[in-house]
Amino acid sequence: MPTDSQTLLLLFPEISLVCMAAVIFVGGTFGNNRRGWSFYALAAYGVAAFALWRSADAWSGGAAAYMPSGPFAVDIMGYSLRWLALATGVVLTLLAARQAPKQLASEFLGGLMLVVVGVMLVCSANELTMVFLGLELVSVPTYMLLFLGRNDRATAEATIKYFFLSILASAFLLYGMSFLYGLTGSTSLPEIRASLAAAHEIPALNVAQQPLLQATLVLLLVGLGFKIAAAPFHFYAPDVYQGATNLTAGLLATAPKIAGIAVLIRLVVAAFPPDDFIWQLFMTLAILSMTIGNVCALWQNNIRRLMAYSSIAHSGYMLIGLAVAAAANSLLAEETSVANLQAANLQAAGIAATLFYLTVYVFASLGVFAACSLLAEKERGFENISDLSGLAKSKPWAAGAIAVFMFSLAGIPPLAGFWGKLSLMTESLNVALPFNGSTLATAFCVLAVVGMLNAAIAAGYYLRVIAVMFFQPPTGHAEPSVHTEPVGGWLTGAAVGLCTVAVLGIGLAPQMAAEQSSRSEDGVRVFVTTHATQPAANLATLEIRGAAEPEVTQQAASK
Amino acid sequence: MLEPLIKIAVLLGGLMTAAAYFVLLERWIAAWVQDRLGPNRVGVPLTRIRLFGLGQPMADGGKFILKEEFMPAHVDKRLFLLAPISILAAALAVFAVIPFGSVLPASVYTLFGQDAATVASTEGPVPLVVAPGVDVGLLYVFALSSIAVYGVIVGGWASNNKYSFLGGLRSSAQLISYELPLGLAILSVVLASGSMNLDEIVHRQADSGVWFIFTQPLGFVVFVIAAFAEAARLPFDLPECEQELIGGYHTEYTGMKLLLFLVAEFLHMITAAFLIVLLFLGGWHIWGLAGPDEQVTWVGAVGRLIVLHLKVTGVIVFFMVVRWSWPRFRFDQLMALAWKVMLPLGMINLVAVAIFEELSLALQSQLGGWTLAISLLGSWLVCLGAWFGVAYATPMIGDNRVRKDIHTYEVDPQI
Amino acid sequence: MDSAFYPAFLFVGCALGLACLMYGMGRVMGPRRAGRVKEMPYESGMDPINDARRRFDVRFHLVAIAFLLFDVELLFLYPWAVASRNPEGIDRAVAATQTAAGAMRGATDFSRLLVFGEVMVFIALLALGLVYAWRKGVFQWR
Repeated sequence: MPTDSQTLLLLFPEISLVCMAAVIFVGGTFGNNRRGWSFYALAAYGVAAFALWRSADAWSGGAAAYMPSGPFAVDIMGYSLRWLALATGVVLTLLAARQAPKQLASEFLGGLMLVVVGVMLVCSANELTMVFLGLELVSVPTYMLLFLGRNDRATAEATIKYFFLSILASAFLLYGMSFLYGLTGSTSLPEIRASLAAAHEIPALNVAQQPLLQATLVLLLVGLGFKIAAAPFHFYAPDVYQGATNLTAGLLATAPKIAGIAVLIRLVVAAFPPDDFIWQLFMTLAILSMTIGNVCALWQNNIRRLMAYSSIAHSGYMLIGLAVAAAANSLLAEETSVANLQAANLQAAGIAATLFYLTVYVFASLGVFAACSLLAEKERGFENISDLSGLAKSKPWAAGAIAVFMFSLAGIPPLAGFWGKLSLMTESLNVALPFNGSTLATAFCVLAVVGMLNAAIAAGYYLRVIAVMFFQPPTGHAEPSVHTEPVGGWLTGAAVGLCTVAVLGIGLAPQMAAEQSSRSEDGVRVFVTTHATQPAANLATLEIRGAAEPEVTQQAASK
Repeated sequence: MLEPLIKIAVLLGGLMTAAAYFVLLERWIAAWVQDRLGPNRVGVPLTRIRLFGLGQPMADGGKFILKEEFMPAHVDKRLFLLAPISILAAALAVFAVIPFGSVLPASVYTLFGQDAATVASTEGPVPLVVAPGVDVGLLYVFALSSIAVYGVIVGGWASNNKYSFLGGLRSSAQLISYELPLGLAILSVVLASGSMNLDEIVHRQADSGVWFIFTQPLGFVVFVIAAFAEAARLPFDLPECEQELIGGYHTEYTGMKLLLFLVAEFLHMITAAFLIVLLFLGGWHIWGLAGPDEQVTWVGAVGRLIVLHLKVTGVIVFFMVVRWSWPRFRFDQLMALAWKVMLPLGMINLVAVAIFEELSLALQSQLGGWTLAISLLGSWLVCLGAWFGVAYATPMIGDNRVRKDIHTYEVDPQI
Repeated sequence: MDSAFYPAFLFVGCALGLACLMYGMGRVMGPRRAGRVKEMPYESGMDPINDARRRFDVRFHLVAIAFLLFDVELLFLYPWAVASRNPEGIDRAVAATQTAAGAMRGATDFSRLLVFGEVMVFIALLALGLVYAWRKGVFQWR
């Protein structure tokens, strides 16, 4: 389908960001003023945010009717995730204002901007080509940013490691996509969905396609699992995070994760026909990621290594929501139409819970890295948890902020992370209950239990960080100079503040809705709609309505 | 089956002969420029008939064949052999899509014993190109002429000689740098003609009667200069500059292998001349020779053949005169010219052509015949502007200051 | 086998054959007189020092990468250049969107001008890339 001006208008945020990135790249060769370009980049994000805000009507109202098979999905999930990507960009730019290498500041900021554009494109991509291009637009500048982060051997090693593994993962992803294209003959996601669903109705074809579809799924999950650092594909994360700077580690922890989760939702959960294999795969990955991430994190002393394992574990939590959605998908076909509706709601809730968890995770994780940047010594960046000792006395505000992020990541009640974990566990139990002894129900019971156990393990190392800050006296490493001469500055402080406000805001607002949220899946939807990811739930319902209706009519027809 | 084989035979024979005799022509022109006599002695062997030295190419060829076929010990043998063979094969194979004339009337089939009546009813005119149906002709030319880069760099690498290695590096940098302006100039011709088939491009010029040199003067200049560089002719003969690099990438080559390189170089020049004529100088067209292929008479066909080859020879003579008139560039000047002058000029030309094309399509109905005049005027203004621009910007681009950052190395007194 | 390229492939084969034939002729008819000095690399009569394959200037790599980028981007322009004047090209696509089916799919103002604008943006990005490389000193050879 040819482009027209409507598409261009809808994509104006991305287009403007790309243009401004080009200006930064070229302008930087004329005058490389790190501070000036940082403010310029912030202004660029402002322009993009304004454009995104102006286009809200087009995305939310009458959206489903517009461009049914265009390269971009005009839906609310894309819209809200684009906001998240923009926020990530702003926080990272605030950090880069003090941390980007002086000589190549414009390249750094421009690369950051392109990463953000990549994430935004992926979040609203509705076409295999666009998905892949967007993911590459995330990856390629990331290699550069990783390398620019710091000029030493550890960074170079981390960059090379990430580069080689990332292109390998991209190759797997591309291979899976080519399988998908071979199966359906289309690169457009709605057409793929329709084609797979049609094939699913024909038993003979379904049986023939099953092995290929499962192979495709495995290939896609290898590629995307690398992006979100899920368990069997997580090996790079600790080393790379440790070698990176606080800033680039923050980038790695967030941007590929947003993109990867968005693609998983669009490509796998919403496109694949019901198959037990899907939720089994998701569940395996989820359990592996949570357990490996949390258990390994217990032994870490390096703060970025710890955060790497924590990010692996959080990928596991997010996969719970996707497993729920996938399981709901396979419930759809089995039960009556009333149960179908219930399953549709369940799927919506699963996706919504994942998106909510993603949002919370992004802010908390960014916050930790921002706070580390605030405290970091010049050049080196501080490395170990023991460096934090006595921070509560020397820098109470920073210690408080880190405590908030750690509590949120651990899922301690009043904070946002708790609500995220709560909704994920609730959804998981919702699949299992009422308990009828089937494999599915048992599996999801186990999943919920494992999730809760993991939350308990995670609390161990998150609370250790807090204990070090508040209850240990400053040791040799943490000389006063470390704390009195931070590399930070007020821009970094602003980044920390932004993340704190986000985590606290998301955490405190749902208290008003807490009573309502106790009422199973309906309650979670109310609970979700009351705050940040409000659009996400709407999207999920939209998606489900699209997916469920044909099923319902099919059922009716068969009767 | 037979038809392409005959054409291939004619073309291969003609090209090899042409390459041999253009060497003689080049030496004559050198002699003329330098006010000498040049080669004028070798004629018919064992007689006193001299024929103005027309036997010289034969003698040269015989000499090359009888030279020792020698492979030095330190070279990479397979690559060393592969380089000259591949470069010559690619230089020849380019001509598969280059028309070496227009068409011959269908009645040519009667010469091969076919019935005149059936020929008249079934066969169309015979296109004088080996593969007439290739509609990506220019891309094919582009692709095969890029193989020259491989030949040069593989030869330089395989020789394992410092001169060759440097020559190979330099020439690969030069060839790839000038491929970009070449591609841009070709792109604007493709844009104006809507086809990549060389025969159709010539027809477009013949039908409108306006050659692309008139509508795209800047593109012509860019193309000619880039073609000089691609053919590695002086002033762009850095790949093999005898004085500095002792022949560059073919320092270690002797005998027949050297001949393959030298012939390939001459073929590159002939290719470049053909492309210049076909793309910008109207190919076989001269005013009075236009018209559809089906109605071509024998007189017209031969006339077109002669016109094309006269034009090509003229361009080649121009190449040779330039060779004996200009000194060689320095390497930094060469690269600056490619990237800082030619590439921007190519882009300007492309944008200008695109704008004029788009405008003339939009305004055709209102302005009628004036559109051509306006776009002609506009393109010449662009060319003139570019000329002044380059003249103005030259101090920015060229850098002839004495370098202060080079420190002379101290010589060890014991050596 | 009835392809337009078939004669071209034939030509490539013949050209390779001719090149090999020429080489073979020299091999058969030339004399053979090997010698140790003959087998040394030629360095203007001096004994060669070290192997010739050494590290070389990074600028060659930079030029190669710049070439790769620009050349690939140029190739993207060829389809547009062919389609621009061709009646089967852009004009036909534009005409297709004017029909009812085209309008239904949402492409309301797809036109020649839009294509032209997009190509110009593409070329402008190309030019920006050139400026960037220029300013970064990729083309600075002395």
